[in-house]
Amino acid sequence: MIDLTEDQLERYSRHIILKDIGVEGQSKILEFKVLIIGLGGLGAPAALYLAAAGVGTIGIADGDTVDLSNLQRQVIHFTADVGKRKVISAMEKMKAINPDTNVVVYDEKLVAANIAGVIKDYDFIIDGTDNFPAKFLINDACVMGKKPFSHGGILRFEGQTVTYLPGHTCYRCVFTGPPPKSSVPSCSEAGVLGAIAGMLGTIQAAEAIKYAAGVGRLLVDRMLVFDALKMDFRTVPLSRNPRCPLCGENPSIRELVDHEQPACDIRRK
Amino acid sequence: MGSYEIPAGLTGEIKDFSCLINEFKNGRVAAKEFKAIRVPFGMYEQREEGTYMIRIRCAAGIITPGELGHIASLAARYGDGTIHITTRQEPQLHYVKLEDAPKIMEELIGLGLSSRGGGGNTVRNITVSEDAGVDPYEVFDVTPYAVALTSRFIAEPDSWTLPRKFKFAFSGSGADKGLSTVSDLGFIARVDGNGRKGFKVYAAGGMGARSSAGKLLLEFIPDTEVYNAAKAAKELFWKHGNRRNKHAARLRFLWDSLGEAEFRRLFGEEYSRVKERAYQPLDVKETGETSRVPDIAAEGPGNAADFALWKDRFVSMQKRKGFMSVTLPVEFGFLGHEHASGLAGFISVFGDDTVRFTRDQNIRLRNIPEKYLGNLYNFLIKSGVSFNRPQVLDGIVSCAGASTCQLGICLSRGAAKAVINKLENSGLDLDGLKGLKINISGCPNSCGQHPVADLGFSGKVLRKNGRMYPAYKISGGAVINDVGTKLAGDLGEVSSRDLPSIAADILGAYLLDADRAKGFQGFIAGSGKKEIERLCAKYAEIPEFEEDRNYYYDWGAKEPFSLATRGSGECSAGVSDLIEVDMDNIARLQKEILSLERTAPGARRGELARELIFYSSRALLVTRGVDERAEKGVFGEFIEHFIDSGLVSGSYRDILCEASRNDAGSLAGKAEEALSLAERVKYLYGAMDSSFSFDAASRVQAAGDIARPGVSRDLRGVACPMNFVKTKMELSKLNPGDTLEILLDDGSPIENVPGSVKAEGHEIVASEKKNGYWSLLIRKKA
Repeated sequence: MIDLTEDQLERYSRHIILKDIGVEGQSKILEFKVLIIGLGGLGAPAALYLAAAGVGTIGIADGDTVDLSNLQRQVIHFTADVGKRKVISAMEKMKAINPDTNVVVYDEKLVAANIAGVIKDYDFIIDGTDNFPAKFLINDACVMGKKPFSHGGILRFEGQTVTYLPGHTCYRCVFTGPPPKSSVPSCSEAGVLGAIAGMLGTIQAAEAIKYAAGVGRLLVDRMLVFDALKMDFRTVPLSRNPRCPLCGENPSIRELVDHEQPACDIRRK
Repeated sequence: MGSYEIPAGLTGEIKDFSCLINEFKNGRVAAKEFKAIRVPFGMYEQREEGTYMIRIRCAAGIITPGELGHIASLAARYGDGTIHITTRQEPQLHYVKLEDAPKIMEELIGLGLSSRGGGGNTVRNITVSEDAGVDPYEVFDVTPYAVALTSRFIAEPDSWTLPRKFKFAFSGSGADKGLSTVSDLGFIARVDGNGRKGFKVYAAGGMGARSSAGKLLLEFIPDTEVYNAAKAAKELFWKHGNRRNKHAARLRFLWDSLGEAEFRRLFGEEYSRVKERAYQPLDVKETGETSRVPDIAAEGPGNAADFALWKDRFVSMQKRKGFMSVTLPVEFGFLGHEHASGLAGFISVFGDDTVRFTRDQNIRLRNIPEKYLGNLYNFLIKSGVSFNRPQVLDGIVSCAGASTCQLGICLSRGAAKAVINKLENSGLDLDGLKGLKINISGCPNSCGQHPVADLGFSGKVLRKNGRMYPAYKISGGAVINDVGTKLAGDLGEVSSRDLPSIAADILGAYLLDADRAKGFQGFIAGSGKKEIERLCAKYAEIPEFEEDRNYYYDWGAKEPFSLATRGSGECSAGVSDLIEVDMDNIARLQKEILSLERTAPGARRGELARELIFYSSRALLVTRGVDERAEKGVFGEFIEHFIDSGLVSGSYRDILCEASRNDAGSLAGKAEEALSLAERVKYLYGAMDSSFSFDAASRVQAAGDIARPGVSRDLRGVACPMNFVKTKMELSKLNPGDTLEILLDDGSPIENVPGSVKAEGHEIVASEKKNGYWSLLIRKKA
């Protein structure tokens, strides 16, 4: 048991007061390690809340620079940051919120060749990416590496998120592979309400913190979907697919590959 | 006039109750206090807020045609038009508005009926076998004893302040058709070697959580001793029953906790004491022949074949030759007011002793001259109600279940309807199942009386892949008699969805069973048990939610199965609730006094202190058996019961006298003392054990001090909520059971931190007011 300092007691007091978290839960959070992949609409609020919550180590991975069109939803980046590496911009804010947090930066795109080496050091991974190949890659790497992770996706006014724990329903149990290139519009074509990025990213952060403290019921074997236009939330039960190409009875996927077809291929100017 | 006597004071009590209703509506009485008083008046709030149910006492299930007609009119005028017959042989009105309740109660008094003791921790309606008085095989008619005991008990105030409900029953013979061997106290008629009338007495049986058969308490008492034995049992329960934990309070729990020998010893003591007081024996009025043969023409039945079938199903011979008793099925006990008043009108020509409510929620008519059965049959045809389907169907008893009961798990009534539907379409010889008892309870508390069933079901939760679905435990083969009552045994479990199918399969197997002549118990004891196991295995696998959602929706439910709305029951609102009301007032006044500005006028301070002393004095009086609620008596009673007995220090005597003199002036400067008295009372309440004894508290006082804390932490000067955060930090370092002392400032810290600590499951061992601050001793939860 860590003996919390007076400053820590005060900083985290609203967590500690919670019956389900308490000193014990907060201590676990302080020792927890989360990796956020993608510092866009989802990664931005997740990074801010996890730093604020006192998560001990937060890895952030993104190979992009801040673009003016990002600022409508990626609230960790400010106007002055346009042109800056996203990981640097994000680290500065996280450190400013909570100097105790150890921020590890990966200023690169995570791909089949490097992802396994990065995730192995973390307790929980947050998928904040914006394209299907990356989402399937993260799913495959986490299932193979037996790492819990939070999947999240947003488009227009809608969002969806699932939490994976080893042994439970994975993303490929539900969606066996990326959709055909033309079937799904990209973010820049379809647009997205900035605020829903905040809604979904904070749900992912909450899942990570609950997992860290070992409390509550995670979004495991069920998917939360919401439509902000109607402001309608529901959870859809999921179950493991015996024919899942990744975690089913006869898996066909045995190694990590980079799918082609980035869904948001027009995003980079 | 009703069968029992209304006590003299009841009219006054009902007037007071009307005043209380007005006070409650004007917001001057707290909901909790109102509940504590209305529930023992037989008035429950329904799940739909602001609507009430009133339960009318009907000793022995007796109702005259005139009363039935009047109750039907009450249901039409003030309720939802339906009379609901309960398993304790009494009618209930539903959907009653608060403001109408006093009118209903007054009209009931006019009829000679009362709702007093209908609910709460009271002597409940006293029941008898439904055919008492007409059963050809009974030893003698027990009805007059149930009625006379009712008249006596409803005039005794301690009948309303028991630790939990108390159920008396009478049976006319060893067949125990009145379920006396499954009651808190049950009397079975017998005659001794000298031809003296008397009773065998069973105690500490009952249904509910941990149902239990009664134990033979007295082999024989002469009938003149019924009141003494009943009174002694009531006294025993009043004094020793568990008042802190309503879930382990019924008399059977006292039997378990004391052990048989001690229970018998204490009962013996009470019994001797009662006998010494030389009460009059019950004033037993033999009912005699109050029925009459009317001067009307006998009719032939409209449909002879159907009439014959109906007679087979529902008509039985009485002791008295030429007279018949007839069961009128009432589905789940819901009797429409039009049918009820029609029936009352029809039956009145046969006299007053013609109608009884039954324990399976039907009506049993009696004293119908055989030649008028055709008239009755024709009347029933004309009334348009269903009255001639196989008897087993309307013999099914089900509680309300989760549809209206806060404790319900499953929708038992929906399941019962589904069973009826299934059986009607099963092609089984349902008339071959006459007399078979099927009982369905929505949860393990046995309001559907599944422990006495031939085939019983009680609601439970099962899970598939982590998802809950409604299900039932199956039990059966109960044997109820004076030789050896055995409650229904566990036989397996089944999903709610498949309950009707398995019920039909089990009954089908029984009808084909070679040992059918031995009855359902014989079937269970023979091949039945294995057969039911096999059937349970057949229905054990249920589909996934995605394959068939029906399994995850209970009968009649619109939402998937969930326990989210399950609450806690109303039944035992009682003494503890009264104490809680005062405790809430104490907390409120403490807060108000502590937040008074220093510049506040002294008179205001003195007034608040006086009020605080009043509530502190009154709160625990009820635990000493003192039912004093009014201002003037409270202080004296407190001095007698708490100060003279040494539970509270004599140093408070002065402020108590000043409070009783209403001397706010002197009290203005003594708010600190009032606060400290309140603390002592709160501490006593915390230390009180299950039978309202403060032994633990006095021991602590005698020892001079509580065990010294392991760790102490001074949190004075630390504001909310950081003082609580730091308390949690300290507690996290301790082992379970260790103690921690913290020092807290007066004001919001002492008002908030103890509650938060308790909410986390830790124990506040003591809180003590020091000079301007508080010391709180906490024991870490195990």
